[in-house]
Amino acid sequence: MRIGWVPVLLQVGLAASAAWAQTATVLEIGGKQVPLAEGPWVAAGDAAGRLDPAATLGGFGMIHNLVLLRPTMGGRGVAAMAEVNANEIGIEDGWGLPADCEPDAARESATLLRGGWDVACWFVTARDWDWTADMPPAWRQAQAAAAQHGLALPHRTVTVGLRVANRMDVIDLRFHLAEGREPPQQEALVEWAVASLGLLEAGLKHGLPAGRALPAFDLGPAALTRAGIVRYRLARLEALVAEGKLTVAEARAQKAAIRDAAARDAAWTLDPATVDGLRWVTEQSGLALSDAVITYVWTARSVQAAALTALQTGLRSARTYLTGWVWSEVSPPATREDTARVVDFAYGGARAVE
Amino acid sequence: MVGALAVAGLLLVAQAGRAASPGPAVAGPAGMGQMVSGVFEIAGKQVPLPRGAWVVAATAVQPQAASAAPYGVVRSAVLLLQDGDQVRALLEVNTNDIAVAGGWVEPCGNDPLPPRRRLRYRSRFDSSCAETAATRLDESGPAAWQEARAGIGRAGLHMPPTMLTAMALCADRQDFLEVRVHLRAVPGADDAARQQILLDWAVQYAAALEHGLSRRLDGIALEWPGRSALLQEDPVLERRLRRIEALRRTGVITSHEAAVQELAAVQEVPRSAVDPHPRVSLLNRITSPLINLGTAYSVTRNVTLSVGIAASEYLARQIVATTNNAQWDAIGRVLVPAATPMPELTHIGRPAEEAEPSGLAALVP
Amino acid sequence: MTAGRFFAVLLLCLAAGPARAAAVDAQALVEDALAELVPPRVEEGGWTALDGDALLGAMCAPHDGPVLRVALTTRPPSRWQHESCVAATAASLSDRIVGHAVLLAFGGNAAPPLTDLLLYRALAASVPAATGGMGPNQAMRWHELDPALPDVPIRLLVPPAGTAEAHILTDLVLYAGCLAADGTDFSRPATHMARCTELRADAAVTRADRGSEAAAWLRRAGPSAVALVGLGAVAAEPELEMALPLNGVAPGFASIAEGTYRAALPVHLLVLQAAAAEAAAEAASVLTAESAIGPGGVLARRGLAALRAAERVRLRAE
Repeated sequence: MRIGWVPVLLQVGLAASAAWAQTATVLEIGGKQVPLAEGPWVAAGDAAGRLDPAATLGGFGMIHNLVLLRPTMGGRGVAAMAEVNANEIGIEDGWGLPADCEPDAARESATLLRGGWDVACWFVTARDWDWTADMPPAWRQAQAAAAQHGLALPHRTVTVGLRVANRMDVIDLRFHLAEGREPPQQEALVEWAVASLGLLEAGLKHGLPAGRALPAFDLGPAALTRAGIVRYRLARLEALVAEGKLTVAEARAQKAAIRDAAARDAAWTLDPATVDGLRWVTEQSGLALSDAVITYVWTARSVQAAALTALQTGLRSARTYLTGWVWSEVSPPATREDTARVVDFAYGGARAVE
Repeated sequence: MVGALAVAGLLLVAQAGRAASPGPAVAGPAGMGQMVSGVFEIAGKQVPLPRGAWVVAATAVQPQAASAAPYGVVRSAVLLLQDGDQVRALLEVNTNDIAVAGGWVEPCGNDPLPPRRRLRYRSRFDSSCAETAATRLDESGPAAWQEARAGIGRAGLHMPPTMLTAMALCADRQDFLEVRVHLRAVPGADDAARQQILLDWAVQYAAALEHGLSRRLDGIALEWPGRSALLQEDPVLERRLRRIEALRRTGVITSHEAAVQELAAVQEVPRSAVDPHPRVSLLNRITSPLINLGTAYSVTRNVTLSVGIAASEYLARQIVATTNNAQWDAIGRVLVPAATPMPELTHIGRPAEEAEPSGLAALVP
Repeated sequence: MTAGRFFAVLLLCLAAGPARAAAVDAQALVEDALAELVPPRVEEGGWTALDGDALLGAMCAPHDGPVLRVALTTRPPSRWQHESCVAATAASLSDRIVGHAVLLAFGGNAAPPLTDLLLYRALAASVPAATGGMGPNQAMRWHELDPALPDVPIRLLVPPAGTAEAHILTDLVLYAGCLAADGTDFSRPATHMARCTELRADAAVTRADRGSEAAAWLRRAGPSAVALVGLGAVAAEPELEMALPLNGVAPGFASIAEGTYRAALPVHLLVLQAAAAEAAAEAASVLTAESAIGPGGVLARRGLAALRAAERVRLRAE
């Protein structure tokens, strides 16, 4: 067994499915904790996933691709599907963002953190499902299992996805919610994603507080706030005060800092390298402008001032590139830009066509 | 007081015989006075322990000047390893209690690397580095050290005045974990090759520490520096290869896939973010006025004019750079999660002077 | 070099009847552990420790039908022997280096800096005499060999007879020291070899037994004592911490793998097969797996110094 299952009590009636394996709401995969949304899930597919396009990012062993289903109350359909992609072995040089987290008019997404080696993002989008098309092996297993148990799979879902990654590991977790009589509200799913991302980050390092699962999809805003990682951190501060390790004033200041960080609107997060690049561009532009003004003031000749400015700017830029190149040649360690790359797996379904 | 007596009692018991060396295993966080081996847990992280039966001599927090940095407190601990009535090694660890959101400010520093320092990687959100030094053990140090010293004294253990220190630090966007292993040194000629052994070991230790941050130390067994130099090339890589082999043997991946994975594993290295070194920035700042002066003269052919232009541009440059940086710092706080300043850490002892004996002839007795 | 001095282990597997030879008193580098590597389906044959002379004879013996024979040896076949074997068996013979056997020195704070010459002069039964020619070695203190060395007794522990480490000691270390010593006579190479490598049998030298602990011996013998052991002893005895340099080269993973530490011999994996390719590949994969030849692996625990990771991976990919 590649992952450990902890059986839970059956809560939802499933037609002729007493033998179907049920899962805990927190999975153990490759040393990581992958929390699922609260509620019943059954294991439907478990196979090797793959990077798409194929890439060799390091010795990650294999990609675990799991598919779990949540049957409807009536037991005739599927209310939700969960899809997990996670590496077995940690690597040395990081993973990347999914393309679904890049800004796009067709979906809502936010990247709370992005860099060459660290990523945390969520997205909400629509997805179409052609069950006759070619699918990853785990999805084919799920399809067969659903057919065996008489469950109808959806053809369109609202998909909320979470991706967290660091230098060693990645977890890509997607929930595909079938559109039914009460389709999930997009805004509610966005709030759910924001509340859940911090918990998934904790699971990446096997640090889920008290083995907590992700909140249920139908929780209101107040309940989502209580269920998130921020509440746990605030509670931890209170515990430190009770232990006498922190003063009340110190805890109050730290609480404010935690709340500020959580409230940060990160829809337009940039890579550190991009920020540094823009900083350099604006600085060089400002210097060129100031140089032009200064030389004109001193020479009172526009042509001479322009020529001098162009010459100075060109030589300084060439000098900067040359010294940077020499330094990169002579200095260890190996480097690359602190910019997130796009790394995707083979997923089920396809982007919805409006 | 009670804690020191408890530690002293445990140390006296351990002194009675040579400590065994059980395999790496520890169940749950260890409290003061407990014996641990393989892995020590603190604040939700795992600290790899070199072979041997260690005693948790003290645990404490390091108080920080009033700050709003949201990491709770700094947890610290001191562990010791005995050899008869001698202190064979000390291990001090510092780490944050609560995870932060945007990494740390220069946890490995930004200075040019001294000879006994190695940077494994550095980016905006994570860093890992290792260093070696010699440490004079005295009363200076954090509260955990004071408590440990008291326990060592009551147990009647002997401690050398100077020890060799291997330091490893690993920080990611949520946590930092800093460990210093102080090893008993034997007076002798300073041996460059053996210094290299200790530094190489410290780098391996830092690599293991990265896995400790994610509670993933199973299967990584650390030897002492001299033994590690003979028996281990890269414990983390070796575990990775064994796990790939296990996947192949159980049929989860094919032989071809295993070969591809193995090749990737031996080729991958942790890379750092491209970052102009301070020396490069200093060089640029020095050469800019010279370029301005030279080009101004080449165009105007007037010394006074050229000096005036270059001087004015230099002053304007300071204003433009300062203003630009201030603006981008403000923008950056919105666009990139803010880094948390590293806490002020107090460590055991003081750096020993270079003239002091620091031989590695017997890194561990 | 004397053929019989080489250490070899023949591992015989599969199909054809085992070509057993009398096992000489040679501590197999991997004798016990190798049984763990045998694929479960192999029912015939077994592991046999052989003298180097008998190795090729057993490997290249006639056979009926498919055959798969595997050997680990520090003495690879020469090109002529390789071609002769292939011709005689109508099989293919592969030869790959899977690691090194290595001799290491451990000592106390008063141990002298070791060189081939110093060890020869301390260990050899016969050494160049002051009056010319060769004479019995009577030096009992390091100071007698070199006035710069401390005036402490010579105490040396040498590996058990017949082991790869013993072979490295005599044929690499002592012979090199003998060549460097003044007054040696090269007119009769065979006699010269015996004289160069015969060990003294007095109190200065102790021959280790199998299972004896070098660390315990060092504690008893004092700070100037030196124990010469293999990597298997290091793996088994946690007290053996820091190996001494030999000829100014500190032994380490890199220096052993790269050959700069000279007291080491490559260990060759020979596979002779006229069997199904799958069976050969299976046997080879078992013996070159990370759990076999990697650091901390089965063979490493028995004394094999591992290749570098990139080389191990390349070996498996072949």
